[in-house]
Amino acid sequence: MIDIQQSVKIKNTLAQNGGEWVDLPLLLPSSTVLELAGEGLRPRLYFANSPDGEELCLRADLTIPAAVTFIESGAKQAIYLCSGKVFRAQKENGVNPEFRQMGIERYGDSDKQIADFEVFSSIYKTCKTIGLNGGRLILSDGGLVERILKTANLPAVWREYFMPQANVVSELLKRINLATIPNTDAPTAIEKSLLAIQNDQEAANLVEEILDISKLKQGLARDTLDIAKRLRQKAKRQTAEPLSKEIANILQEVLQLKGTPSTVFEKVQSLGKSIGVDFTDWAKEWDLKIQKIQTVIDADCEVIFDVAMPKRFEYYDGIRFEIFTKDSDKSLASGGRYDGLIAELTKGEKNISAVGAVIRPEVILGGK
Amino acid sequence: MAGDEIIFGLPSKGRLKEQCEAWLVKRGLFLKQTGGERGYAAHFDGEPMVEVRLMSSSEISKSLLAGEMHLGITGEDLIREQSPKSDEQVEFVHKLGFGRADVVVAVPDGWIDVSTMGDLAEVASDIRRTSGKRMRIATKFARLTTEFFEKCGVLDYRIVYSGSATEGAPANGIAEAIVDITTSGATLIANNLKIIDDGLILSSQACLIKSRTAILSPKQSALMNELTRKFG
Repeated sequence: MIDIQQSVKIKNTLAQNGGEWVDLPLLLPSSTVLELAGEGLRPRLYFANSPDGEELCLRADLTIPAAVTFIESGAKQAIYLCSGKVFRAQKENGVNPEFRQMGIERYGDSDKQIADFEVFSSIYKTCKTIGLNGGRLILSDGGLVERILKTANLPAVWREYFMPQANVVSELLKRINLATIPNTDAPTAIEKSLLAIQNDQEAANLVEEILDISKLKQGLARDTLDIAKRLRQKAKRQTAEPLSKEIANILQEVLQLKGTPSTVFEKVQSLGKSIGVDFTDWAKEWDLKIQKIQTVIDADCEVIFDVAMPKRFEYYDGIRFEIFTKDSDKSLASGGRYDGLIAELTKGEKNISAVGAVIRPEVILGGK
Repeated sequence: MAGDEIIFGLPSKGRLKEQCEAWLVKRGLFLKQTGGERGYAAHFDGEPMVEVRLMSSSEISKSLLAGEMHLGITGEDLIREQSPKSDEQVEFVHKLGFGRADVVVAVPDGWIDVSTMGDLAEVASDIRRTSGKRMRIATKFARLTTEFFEKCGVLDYRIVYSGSATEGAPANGIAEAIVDITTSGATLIANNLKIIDDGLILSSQACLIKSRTAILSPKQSALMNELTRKFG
């Protein structure tokens, strides 16, 4: 349990770089949460209905309610400090469905690097105030995989196939593997015809004609051009040379790199070179970040860099970190940069950068 | 469940009730409804210690999972949808060969570029990239859908709850695709939908199901053994 003294200590440390304490909503429209986090979160949410029938859910983290509060405030820049329970069914046994999180959410910082460092620094120091000793720090770069795919020397057809899964490495690895397998299905007659047509409108017209003749309907979400484009993509993959095993192996190796930052950065650079990507500047930037981080963390804190982020952190697009106690796999604190979140919540109306992190004090202090 | 009766749940109406009755008659169990044909309480002739409750299939599933009922006949789809740990909570004693229904993924038949779940994953990503929103799936089977889509690598989707007339959701703009039960596929075809080749989530049918969570007294255990012997 957190006593008042501990609570004050935590709050003071979190507030070391300023910010205002805000009360965040407990109930959110479930459509907002699931649109952002995906249906994978549904089994872990607790639902309620508003009197007018809207489906709501108890907040599963502080990040989304803080972003909603920030958008409603109309501000362009803010530092929020927040504390309260979040509600998430645990994967095993369904026990302890509510637990406390305390954190910082920052929006619209002009210097992102300083903001990233200040958030990390406050969170690590807060972990120290409640007894973290050394610990284990896992770092990732939410933009790295996309950067690899965009710049690697890959046939365009395979790049197109891989890009949508850039944030979900487990699925990306499956696609890389599939791309190496020689295709045994020849394109259909329609696909062949579409490959021969360069003009998009003509391709869409052909699909429309086929649907009319066959009395098929495509629904409201996709038009005939969407369907024509995908048929073309499929045909291109079917007629393309399989991805070379050599390139596939390099990609798979890079994506699964995990270890001390210096080893990983060195390996990313050398493997990158073999697929035509220069990661020198990227590695230098990260070296600097690590040096700064090392001024804050304990000398015996184990630092690991993981190229692949866990699936649940899909929306991070910059630095991501997770702090563990040395002897536990339970995450004590986590956070990172998610610049796309405000734009996604406002349907592109507001494009404001964001970084944040939370600690879960009960992991060390016990209780709910 | 204060007494020593075995509580047995049966579908309360329709073709499914008739098929259940016929299956039970073959095993020497004749249903007698205490309130006449419209009554929801019943017993089996010559089995005074078996209390039969006529309920909706959905309520039977919930009662079996909660241990409020010892035995019952309901669809496997309902049990699997209502609990992620159904095999720990109930035992499927017999598959009865009727009440067949497949839980399937169906998309507009004009999506001629989609025949596999892999295709659907790509289309979902395209829709999210171009519209900024996830593809909507209309269904009442949220749990089965989430588990199946996860397994198939379909990630960029949202579930829209649909209790009835789900097949109409894509044409009405409520969803892009559906997960629903089908027997012959005729309603899907009538609504310009097609089943994805590898989109069979569950091949369901009516099952005789025993609750593992209901606590049995020694007398109830003996009666349960006797009854299950009759079921063969």
